[in-house]
Amino acid sequence: MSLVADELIRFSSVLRIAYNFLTGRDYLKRKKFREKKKLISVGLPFSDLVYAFPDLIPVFPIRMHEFKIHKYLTYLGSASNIFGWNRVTNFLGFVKDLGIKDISQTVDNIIEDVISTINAKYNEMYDYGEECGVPTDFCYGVKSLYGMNVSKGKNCDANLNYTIRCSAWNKYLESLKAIGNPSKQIWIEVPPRNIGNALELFIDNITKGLEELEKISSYNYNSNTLRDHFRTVNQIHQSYKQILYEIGNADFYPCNPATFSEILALLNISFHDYNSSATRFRDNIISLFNEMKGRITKGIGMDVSKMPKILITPMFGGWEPKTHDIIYELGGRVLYGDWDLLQFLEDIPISNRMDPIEAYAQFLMNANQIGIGCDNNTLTESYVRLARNFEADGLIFIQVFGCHSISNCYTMLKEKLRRELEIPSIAINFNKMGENVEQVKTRLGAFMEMFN
Amino acid sequence: MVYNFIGIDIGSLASKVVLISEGKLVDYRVERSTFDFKRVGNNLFNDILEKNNLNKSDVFIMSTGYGRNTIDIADDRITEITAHARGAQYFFPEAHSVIDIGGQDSKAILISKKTGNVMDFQMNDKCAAGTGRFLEVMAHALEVPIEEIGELALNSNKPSAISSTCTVFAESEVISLFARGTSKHDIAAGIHKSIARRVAGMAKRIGVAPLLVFCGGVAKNIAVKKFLEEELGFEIVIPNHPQLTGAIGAALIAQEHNGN
Amino acid sequence: MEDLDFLSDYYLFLKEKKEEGKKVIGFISHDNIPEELIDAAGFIPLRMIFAGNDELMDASHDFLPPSTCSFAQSCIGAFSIKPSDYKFLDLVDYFIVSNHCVSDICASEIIAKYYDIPQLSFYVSYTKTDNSLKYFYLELIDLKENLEKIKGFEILNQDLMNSIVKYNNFKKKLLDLSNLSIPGSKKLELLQKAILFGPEYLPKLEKILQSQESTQAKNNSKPILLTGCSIFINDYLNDLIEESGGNIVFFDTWVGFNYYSQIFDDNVLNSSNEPINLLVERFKNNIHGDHSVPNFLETKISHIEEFSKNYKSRTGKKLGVINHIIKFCDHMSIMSSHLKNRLQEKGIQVLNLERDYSRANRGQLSTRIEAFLEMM
Repeated sequence: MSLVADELIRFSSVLRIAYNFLTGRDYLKRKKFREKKKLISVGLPFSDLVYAFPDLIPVFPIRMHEFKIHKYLTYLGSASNIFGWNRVTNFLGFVKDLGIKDISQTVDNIIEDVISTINAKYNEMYDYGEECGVPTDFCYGVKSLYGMNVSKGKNCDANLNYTIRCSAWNKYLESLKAIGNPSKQIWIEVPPRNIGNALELFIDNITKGLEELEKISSYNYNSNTLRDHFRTVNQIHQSYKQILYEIGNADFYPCNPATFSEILALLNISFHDYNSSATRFRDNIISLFNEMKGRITKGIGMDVSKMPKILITPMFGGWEPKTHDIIYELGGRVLYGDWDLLQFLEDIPISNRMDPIEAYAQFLMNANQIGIGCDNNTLTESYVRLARNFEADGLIFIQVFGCHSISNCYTMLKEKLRRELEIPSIAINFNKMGENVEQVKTRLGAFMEMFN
Repeated sequence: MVYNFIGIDIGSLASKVVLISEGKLVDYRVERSTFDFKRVGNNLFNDILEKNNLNKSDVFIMSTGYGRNTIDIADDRITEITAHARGAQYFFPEAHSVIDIGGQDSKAILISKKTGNVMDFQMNDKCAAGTGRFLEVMAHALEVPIEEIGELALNSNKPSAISSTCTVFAESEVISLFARGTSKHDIAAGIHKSIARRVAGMAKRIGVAPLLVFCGGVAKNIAVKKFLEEELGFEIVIPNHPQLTGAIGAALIAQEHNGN
Repeated sequence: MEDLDFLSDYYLFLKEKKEEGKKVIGFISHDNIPEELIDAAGFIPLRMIFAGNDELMDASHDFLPPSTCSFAQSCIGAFSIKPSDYKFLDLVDYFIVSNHCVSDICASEIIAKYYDIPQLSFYVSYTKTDNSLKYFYLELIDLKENLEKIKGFEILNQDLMNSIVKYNNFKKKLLDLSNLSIPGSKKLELLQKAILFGPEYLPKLEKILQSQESTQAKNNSKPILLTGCSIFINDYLNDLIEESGGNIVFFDTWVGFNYYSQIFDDNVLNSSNEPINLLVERFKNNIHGDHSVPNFLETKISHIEEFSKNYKSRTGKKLGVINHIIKFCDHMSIMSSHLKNRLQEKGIQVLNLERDYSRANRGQLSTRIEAFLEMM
């Protein structure tokens, strides 16, 4: 019993992150109604400017929904309210006193359950989006976002909209007004290319965006608040990268690889808004990395040296979560690294005593140019770079139905991977979670045989 | 003056011919269209004339449906949208919306309460899901005659979830559920729920509301009606001859256009 | 179906220009490409305004998944297969990669990359703030510099001004064309040819206009306003609409109103001494283009409402609106249900007509169009 409880405790950070994601609704309600804070809807990792104002909270709309939470997480949450997360022994005692029968349930099952719950909600949003008139042509990602906004968007005081390369994204943002979303729309244009004084124009766009946020907030913009936030963000980025590469590329994992994939997926989803609290997310992700290192040092986990590393990307338009389970059953391990692909884990250069707005502009401009890029060549290069960083043995490319931006460069990518990295790749079609899993299994079976 | 009107509805699976006299349905014929629907249409037409002691010159012929432009005996043609709306009103004068599920397509029609004319419509003719074809394929996969699958579905109180929207993938799902031991009636119920969800989804887009008339060949399946009602949230009605609404509507419109 | 002999005339037209030393600059992107700048450089802008078919769409699947805009697929297919009508595509010297929409970026990149055509870039902001206008200016300068590099010498302000005036007069003529009550098919044919050949078509257009002034559209046809995606060359859609008893009286699309409405007042032209700024001004005033956010839907609704009202008071007839949506077009499809609901609230009937270029689609389209016309 103690070994298993040991596991639970030593991996509590990931459970905390999961809990914070899933209990967003209660957290946000408290913030809005009791503390009189305002909610700003965000999507993709563009939440940072909201953190410049103490009374504004960024939220990725799906988190306003009610999630079915695994009972262990509920106990953990209750325990944290009474004892604080770090009071290990008290937690143990609490759990023992509750007489929970199936304590042998491991972290693996809890995390798997978390991911399933989140995915089920995504599917629900997708269905709701379709019912509310989003055209069938769009990708899973946009359809579920549409559903999220139609269902919960009115709880927000504003939408923070950044224009990016994907026209479906930009047009979906435009449609929020038409949905009848009462929120104010704040637009920040990211210049498509970095030519001439485009960076200066971008700095001005961000400044104007901050002015709009200032109108909603009861605080004035304070550059120190933003600078402090970026310091927090840089710590988040650092830890995230450490988890991806130090742990991800290791020969010994702190847990079974399918669980590790799920943890990466959870980090991916939580990164949109840092679960509405950047400092809390930073603390959790730093301790998550430390916990993982701790477990590896103590030999708790699994030897994965013989398991081929498979990179699955991109996830934004949607992805079939059972894929990492299938790969695990076939003897491989799956890594997800989309935010690094898009350069969202780079440092925001505040260390040069630069104005934080200018630092942020540089950071985003870099992400736009090199990450998502403005052309397919650059985007393909980004995928190759990610595969190289992961020292991936193979790549599974998600060809999302209805995506004509990030999902469109597979032809170029396949050639490049073969030529430059000499690794095989396969594209699997994706329309909706849970659809055609049998076919995916067959294709992946054939793919994994290449590594024997 | 012409008092007799023929409505010919050439569907992709079945051809229907009706005779309307002084606004009342007098006789009708139904037969599978086959690839030679022109011949089938002509034969049904000639038969109905003969059995009612009429000549071609005694009648005005309006064609509708998929093959409406190919039937050269027709005096005029109208789309199945307008025809089904009118036909539904024949059975239910207060009809406000229509759902028609045919062999290979389905449609939803909204009728103006003020004018009685079509106000809006939505069609699915690109995909077998949500059509009679879907039921046929699934019935075959379950090894159940198509006429019995409705009743089978009604015996379930736990419909299986069928997630695939595509008929071909749904078929694989059904087979795999069956192989895993799920009961036939639960799978059948899942199939009906799926088709109802699909069609109701399309219908809700144009804002269908009572009084809703459910017609087309598939309306004969009582389980589809039940699941449609569940999805829509209100009761719906079915005409005595659900397959004939298109042809009846065409004939009635012919009558109206000819000043009778 | 229109007769496509003019495409071989177009081939000869381009060939002649090339023999004079001019370069042909191809692009897919719609309204925001500054064709006057290309013209001022002494080059010929070639707009990809050709509809597709099954064969062309299939040919693009080597590069893009099928769930891509049918039009973009067809553009790639046209370069891949080069059907005999389109042999002028061999004459393209440069291809502009632009971001009108993501399908535009993808297709134009693929064409430039896989068919060995040197690429020029021209990216447009999505919003229309002051900074977006400043950014547009940066892109114009960048394009100008690239064109000058190719040309070998500078594009003079006077040359640019002359081109702007030329295109302006050309568009004014197209506006006159649009006001004639000739059958929609004739109007469309002339619009397509004019936009393809450019201002060189002006004398021919004027001659045709004079002879057309007496032709009238069928009186019993139902008047239609076409909005959404354009009807491109070699597309059967207009024929279907006319066969079903409809007549398009107004093309609220890029091959149509969006193009010829972008006119400068003479006093604006005369008072300007920086022609590049005129192009920025035009971008700013392009409120009907589908690329820009966030007012596209609102602008379209009020524009259609106004036109409908005016049409009714002028002719006593009620307009029907057909919203032409090419499959997988992000810009048009997301607004379609809102457009329909909002216009129907104002008593204007709308048919959202979704299609790709496949032959199989034709029967389904005609049923919908006919049913809509029966409804009107």
